[in-house]
Amino acid sequence: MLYAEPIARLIGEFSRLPGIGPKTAQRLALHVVRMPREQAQSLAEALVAVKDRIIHCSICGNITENDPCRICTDPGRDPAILCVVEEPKDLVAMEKTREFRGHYHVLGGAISPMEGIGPDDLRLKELLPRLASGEVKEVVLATGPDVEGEATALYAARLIKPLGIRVTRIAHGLPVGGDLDYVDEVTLARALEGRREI
Amino acid sequence: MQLEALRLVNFRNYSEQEVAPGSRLNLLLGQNAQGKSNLLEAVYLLATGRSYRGAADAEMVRWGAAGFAVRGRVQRAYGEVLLEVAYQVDQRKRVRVNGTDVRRLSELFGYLTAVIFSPEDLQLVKGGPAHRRRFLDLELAQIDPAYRQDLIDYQQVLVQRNNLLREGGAVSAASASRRLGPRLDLGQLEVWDEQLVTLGARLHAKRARAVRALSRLAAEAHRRITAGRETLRLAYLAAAGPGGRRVEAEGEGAESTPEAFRRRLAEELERVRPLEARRGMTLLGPHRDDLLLAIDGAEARSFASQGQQRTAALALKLGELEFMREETGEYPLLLLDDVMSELDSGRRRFLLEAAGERAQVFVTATSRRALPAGQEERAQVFTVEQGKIAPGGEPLSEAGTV
Ligand SMILES: Nc1ncnc2c1ncn2[C@@H]1O[C@H](COP(=O)(O)OP(=O)(O)OP(=O)(O)O)[C@@H](O)[C@H]1O
Ligand SMILES: [Mg+2]
Ligand SMILES: [Zn+2]
Repeated sequence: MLYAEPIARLIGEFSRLPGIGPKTAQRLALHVVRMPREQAQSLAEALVAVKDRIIHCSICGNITENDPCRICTDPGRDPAILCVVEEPKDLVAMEKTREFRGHYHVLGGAISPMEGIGPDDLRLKELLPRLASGEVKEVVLATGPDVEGEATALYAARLIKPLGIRVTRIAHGLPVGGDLDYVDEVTLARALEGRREI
Repeated sequence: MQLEALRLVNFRNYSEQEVAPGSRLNLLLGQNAQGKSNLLEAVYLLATGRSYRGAADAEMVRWGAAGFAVRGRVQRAYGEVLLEVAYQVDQRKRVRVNGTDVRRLSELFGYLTAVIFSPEDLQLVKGGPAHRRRFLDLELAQIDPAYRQDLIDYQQVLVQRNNLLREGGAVSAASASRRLGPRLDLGQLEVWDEQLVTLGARLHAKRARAVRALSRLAAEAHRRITAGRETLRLAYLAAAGPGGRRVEAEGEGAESTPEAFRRRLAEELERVRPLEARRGMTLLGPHRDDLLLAIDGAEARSFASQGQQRTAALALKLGELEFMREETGEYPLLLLDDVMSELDSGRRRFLLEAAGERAQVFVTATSRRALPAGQEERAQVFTVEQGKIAPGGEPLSEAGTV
């Protein structure tokens, strides 16, 4: 073994993270060795805190510290409009536009047969009970602009429409194939304005 | 349009090379295995980001080097464009337009457009439908960004849909009652069907329109090459008939609108569903279409002689050149690799007169005699020898084999 066991172990942990290869993992680990102890402590605590304190909101599925989350409990939000997104990062992208003042529903992904992800692997079944009370008047489908996001939106639209609720899809013209969180806020705000019936 | 300057670094057998091509006919002269085709490959790479010979990026790196870079300066009607395609072993290919990195390879398309004609293009006439679909796709993708994106999306929909047809999809409570056979979840299939027919109809409309234009332009070239003795006809065959059978696309009119075709595709798709479920694959749509080439009414693939097939391929390429000019307002580059030796002198003359007056042309040959009399004086000659290119240069010994 070229590195002492604790360093080798840290390199191993780093290289399990997405987008981090062995070289970067080694660089990060050696950086930690040079860190002041307090900084390393703080990093370790931050990691554990995320696992201990972050949970999924039982209403919208977003990641949160408190259940229900801040958005679900915010009285200033319009309960008549519900925006469906794939991932928490897409919710954050929508929030950044400051255009949307309704509630959210986070699916946790998109339909993708090649990855074995079907409708029942998403939080679609949790969506329908939220619409039962009749309070929600419009559902905005803001799943990604790629074909998987479109398939998910079409599938959701078919489930929701029989309830007599207005269903819209945010307009395209987004850089297709890209992620929602990659799109700049102005583009996304315009996409929201230009949403169409699906 | 015109490629005014080209620079290669560690590309194939070139270590560092700059070339300043002439505005019309350029003759790349050299014996076998000196680097003539490699140069055309570099030009085509600037146009499409890919090798026309289907080579992987790593294969184009000069042996022993860590990566290649190809740079070009293009003069367009709207101004000058600088293009760069670079590749480092084990890294992603990097594409720059006017010094700025572009995120997707496809964003390179359209700045430099090119039509390549090489002996393999005989496959357009002789080979299977995939060759002809690729021909149409590359032609349209170069001039139409929306087509390019629809094509990428369509291919992804196909992969997903075929997966679903094979695997059936996880049992969905919401649609458990609507299953085809023991496995296939119809609720899931329908959302892929909808995208398949929407994207498919858009691709179809653009291909069918392109083929109508190509048919006119290629037939015109063909008529001139054969001095009016033979008639070439092109037709677009859509895999939208019962069971996925190919049917000839209608001409312009109500029946050929994307909306009409979309409906038709949707209807046939529903009919073919049980068969698709058994076979586990998508049987209808543009990925199974074909382009029919007929000489005096007989399908060229099965009935034309070798010579007739060559002439048809040549006419098709000249038609493509004119089509791209009609669509973009400027002639694309014409890259002719080794085709001189395959054509008789009449066809050679026709080709160079038809294109060489208007487009920037690059011709490879092992001998000056490849050019018809009268063309050599017009040509800017380059000598290619062991990965070095010199303008004009020594008259080569004519021992080179063909
Ligand atoms: N990655 C590479 N690195 C270095 N040399 C290469 C590389 N790839 C190909 N070559 C060399 O390039 C030569 C082929 O060049 P090219 O295909 O351009 O020949 P050509 O001049 O078109 O010949 P022909 O008249 O036979 O078609 C081969 O001899 C090969 O050794
Ligand atoms: Mg060659
Ligand atoms: Zn919530």
